[in-house]
Amino acid sequence: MSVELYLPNRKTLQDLYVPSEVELPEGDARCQVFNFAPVNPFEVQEVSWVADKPLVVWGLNGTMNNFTPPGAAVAAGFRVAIFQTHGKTKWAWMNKHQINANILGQQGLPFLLRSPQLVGKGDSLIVEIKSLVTAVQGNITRVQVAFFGVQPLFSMYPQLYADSGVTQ
Amino acid sequence: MNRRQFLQGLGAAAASAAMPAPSSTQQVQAHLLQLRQDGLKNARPYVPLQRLDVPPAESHPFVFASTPYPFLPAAGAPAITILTYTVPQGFNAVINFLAIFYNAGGIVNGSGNIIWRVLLNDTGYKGMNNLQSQYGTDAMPLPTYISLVENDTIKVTVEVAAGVVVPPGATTGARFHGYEYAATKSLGGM
Repeated sequence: MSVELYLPNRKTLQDLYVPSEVELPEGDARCQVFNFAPVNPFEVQEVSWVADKPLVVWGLNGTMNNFTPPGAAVAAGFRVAIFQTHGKTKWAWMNKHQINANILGQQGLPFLLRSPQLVGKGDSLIVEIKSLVTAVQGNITRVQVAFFGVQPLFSMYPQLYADSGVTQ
Repeated sequence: MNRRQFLQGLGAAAASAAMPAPSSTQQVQAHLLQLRQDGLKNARPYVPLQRLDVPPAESHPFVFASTPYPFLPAAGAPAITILTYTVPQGFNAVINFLAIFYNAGGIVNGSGNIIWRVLLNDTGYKGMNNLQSQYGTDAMPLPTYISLVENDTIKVTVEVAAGVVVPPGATTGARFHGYEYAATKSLGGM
């Protein structure tokens, strides 16, 4: 299979989508999962998480399945919003709830953030989902949103752990 | 801590751990991380309005109500929309009074015989996606601060549970009071 080149830089097309090497620090991989279950039709749910270590998020995934086994995928999908709080400031990653297919990847193809997002130690992330399943469709579902990221090494970036109390 | 100190810290940590001096790539990584950390400190909130109940001076107030009040759908029939509002392009909006009501007897609030839903872009509004009782009255809508972004559509639907005997002539309605303001006043809105 040939490789498509992004001329004139002679880079592959994926260079348009993936962060460059310098965007991601050396560290440990982490997959932080937000689990919503059960989710009724039209229901809105939030899950929050306080970062115990800094996290540089580079990818997002999301799935919606029937809550009852075997848990087939539900096509209706959901809308999602992500809020980050740092200190006393809270902001949204997008200005309105997005359809999951717009900003969340699936299975082995996470949605890649061309510019990764830092979630500082002690920041909170709130993921809010809104089921697009109607009352007529009636599916009770399980929704999962996963953040893929890198936890910068303490030995190399102690400044990022300044407020963490980590003493290693 | 400034950027120089940050990079020096990187070197110190490497030295103390008996690691080789940071490569140029690692220095750039540290630099970009520092930029991101600075970005967090300078982040701005997503709802710039200090009080949602106080409209900005240049805002446009509105009042929308179901006209006329529709009859309740038949028991078990699909939901009908009783009121809808779409934020115009270039504006954000706040609904600061809301009412959802029913005009007839024979239905008990909270029984689940009638279900109203407040839907924002066809998804439930938190806590209002499955209302089983009236919310305010036609004459007295309740203070409710719903912040909307341009092109958002908010609507109220109603459905009657299967098997319920609907009193003849029973109607229902909803009411939105609020204001629109130029989206440029907002840093994004939500």
